[in-house]
Amino acid sequence: MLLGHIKIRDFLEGTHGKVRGILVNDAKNRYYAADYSWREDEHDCLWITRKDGKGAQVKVKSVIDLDESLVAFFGLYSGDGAKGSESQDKVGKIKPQVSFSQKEANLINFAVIQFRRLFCGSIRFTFSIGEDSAYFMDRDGLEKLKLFYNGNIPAISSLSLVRPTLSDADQRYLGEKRPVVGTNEEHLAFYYQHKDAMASILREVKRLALLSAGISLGKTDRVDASLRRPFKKGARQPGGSSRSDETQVGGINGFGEFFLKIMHEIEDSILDDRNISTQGLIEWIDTPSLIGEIVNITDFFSNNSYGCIGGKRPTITQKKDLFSTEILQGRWSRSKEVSIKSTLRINPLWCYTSGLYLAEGSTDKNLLLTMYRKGLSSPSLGFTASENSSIKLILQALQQLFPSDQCLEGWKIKVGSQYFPELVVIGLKNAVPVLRGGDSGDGKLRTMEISLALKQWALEVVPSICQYEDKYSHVEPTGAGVPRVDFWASQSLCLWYFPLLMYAVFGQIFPNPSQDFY
Amino acid sequence: MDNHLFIPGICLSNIQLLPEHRIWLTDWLQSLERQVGDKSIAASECLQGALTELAVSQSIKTDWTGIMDAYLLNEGSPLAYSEAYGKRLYKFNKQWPQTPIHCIHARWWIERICTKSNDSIDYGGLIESFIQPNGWIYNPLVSKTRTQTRMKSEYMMSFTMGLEILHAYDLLEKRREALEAVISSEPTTVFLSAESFRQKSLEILGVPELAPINFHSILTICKLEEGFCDFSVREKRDDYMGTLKRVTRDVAVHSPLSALHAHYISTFCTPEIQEEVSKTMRNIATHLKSNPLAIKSFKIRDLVDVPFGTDISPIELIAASSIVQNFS
Repeated sequence: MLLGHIKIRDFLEGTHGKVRGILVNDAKNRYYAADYSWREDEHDCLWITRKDGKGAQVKVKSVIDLDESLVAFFGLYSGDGAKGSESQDKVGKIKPQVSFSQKEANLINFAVIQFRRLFCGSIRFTFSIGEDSAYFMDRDGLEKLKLFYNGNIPAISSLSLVRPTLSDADQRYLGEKRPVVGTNEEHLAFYYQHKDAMASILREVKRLALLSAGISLGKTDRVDASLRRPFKKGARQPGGSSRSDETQVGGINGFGEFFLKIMHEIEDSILDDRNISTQGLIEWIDTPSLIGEIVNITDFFSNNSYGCIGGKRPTITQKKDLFSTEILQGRWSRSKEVSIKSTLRINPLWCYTSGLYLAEGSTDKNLLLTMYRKGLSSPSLGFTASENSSIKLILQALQQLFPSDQCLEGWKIKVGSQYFPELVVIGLKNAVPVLRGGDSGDGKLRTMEISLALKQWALEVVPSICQYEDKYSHVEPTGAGVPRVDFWASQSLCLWYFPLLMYAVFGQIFPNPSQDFY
Repeated sequence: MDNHLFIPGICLSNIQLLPEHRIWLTDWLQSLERQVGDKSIAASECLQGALTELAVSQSIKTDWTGIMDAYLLNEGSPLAYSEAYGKRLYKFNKQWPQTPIHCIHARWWIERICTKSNDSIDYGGLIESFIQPNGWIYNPLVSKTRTQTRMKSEYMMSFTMGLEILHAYDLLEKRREALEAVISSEPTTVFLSAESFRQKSLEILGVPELAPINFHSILTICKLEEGFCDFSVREKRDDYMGTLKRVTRDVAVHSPLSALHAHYISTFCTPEIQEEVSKTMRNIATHLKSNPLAIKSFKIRDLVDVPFGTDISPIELIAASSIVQNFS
């Protein structure tokens, strides 16, 4: 269904090709800026290039239609997409690249389809997979390496043989200390001896995953693998994984700023519920909250293929609440009864947050994609962010489907280890130590004074959580990351929320979810 | 006894508060009184209440032991939080009834200062029961986290508090060597509070010579232009992998409390180091005298308008006034 347009030509003419924007993430305020020139061809397409001459000539339509899946794609990119690296010469300025970090092949397929829709010119994809080479030292990785060598992995040669000349990075690696079995020399020798074999294995893993999701590689598309030195990052034991997957879009080099601008104008206009975005790049067909397909919930869960999970459908009864709003009571087998609104509008907010949740939500992606065939076991519904906008959007979306008081079960503040010293000082100021929970210390912080001392920070940084102020639970120390707000909802909402989320994102592309996802 | 290891080197009944600090602390005591009225109180607040009353009035004005008997006691075990306080966090009902070492110490310290004791509490026995096989002193029912991932400042603090109590009940001797071995074998940390608690432990044990050879390096590591912070941003690293963190946007913040820890550590150092630290303390005193409430909170990266946790607290102001008094 048509929801709006990306008005590329009007925007370029209005701003004289100047693209400016602010990016707030990881508690950092940064900006992007680029100037573009353009020409229009006889097919109503624009050829856009950077005025500084850097980058490719990018072909896009002068007006691009926005439907549910494209809006969802920008939500997905908002979570999993690259935002750019900071410029060395200008403080706070980022150089964005269009790249997408996602391992799940169905989601990669979805992103590839949307990228091709957006850029009608020739674009190419590099699907890259990165892994810590310690992964190949034990368990699954070792088995794969054995298979590669037909059962006989050659004995490790000495480092001087496999790497006669050491680079600066090698020297640094040898100088580091790690609490793992074996020496750095042995680990580095393993890395260089099997580097090509490991890369070959990873490329094949990636190629098969892409194939199974229906992605056929074009002539210019590539699959790349990169190996990190053992235990360098993430993997702390032999066999441990620190896999990272990236989809880089080639042929649109230099278009990153423009791409981010589209995403931000979509997000901001949805947040403010305005039918024209601040600089006119996005124009919805009407006020965003008033457009989009209206889904009858009873009908959806009784008849739609997206409303059937593991071959089962829920029972739904109808009643009216105190204000005569139609509220349904629904129950899936072996699940708690849930109050749910009788209709849902698949508006831009719903679409955008569906993509965003797929990228950033706490639910395992694999569960969402296999639930149509296998059912949904032990799901969770939660979301984490270090800024207000995305939490506000997700809460608003949940409130479209459920009564407000059911949308959030509790919330906490997650603090990465980089900020533990700050927690200690906050504790000392309040005459308490930082007492951690659980064996490894990543459970609920036991010292209430510190949790309470940080509550106001969270309420100010994420004001959309204020309506649930009394559901604040605790501070949770985590491995990494900037302090951020994390909320979760009742498990019983999952079976209602996820099917409608999946419908918004994939409904137009994959009509039969129990068969179309691998 | 009118000193406390949180604010080392301060004689609480002799302190001269700056007028701004006196006003702030008096207001804080009134708000604490309201909290007590609501039965919502923590042992740490009782402790700070007692410390504040000593600083403001040179004597205890509130029946803190009575309050703790009423709200912070469970079958002979002191509690860190009252039931009403425990409800300030959502679904914390399984965690709030807890007896960590610092709450036992708070209760014990307040009883000593009030010269009023509750015979039902066996402080020495409680602490003995919390000595772990590895020698550290903590209550695993509150926090069972293994030592590698506990906060150094936390287990050093709990250890020192435990020692103070064991010492008071003549229970140190039979464990002296083992306890000396534990505290002296711990590698030097990069945290002022942890090293201050270590020095206090060694002082209680009467073996300051067992301090790590380079313990005074902490005074350089944690020194800021305007004073001291408990940690150095440059030293933030992954405990497990040893790799440095990316800290370009992190900012250390001066704390009078940390300055007192630094000064306390310096009293075990050479006269040259002592003079160096005293010089910094004089600068801090000058700054605080003209900016009495200039005690900042941390900020997270570019969120500069939003305080990340506490800035001014009772013990920060008591520390600040004492620095002005002793180093102006």
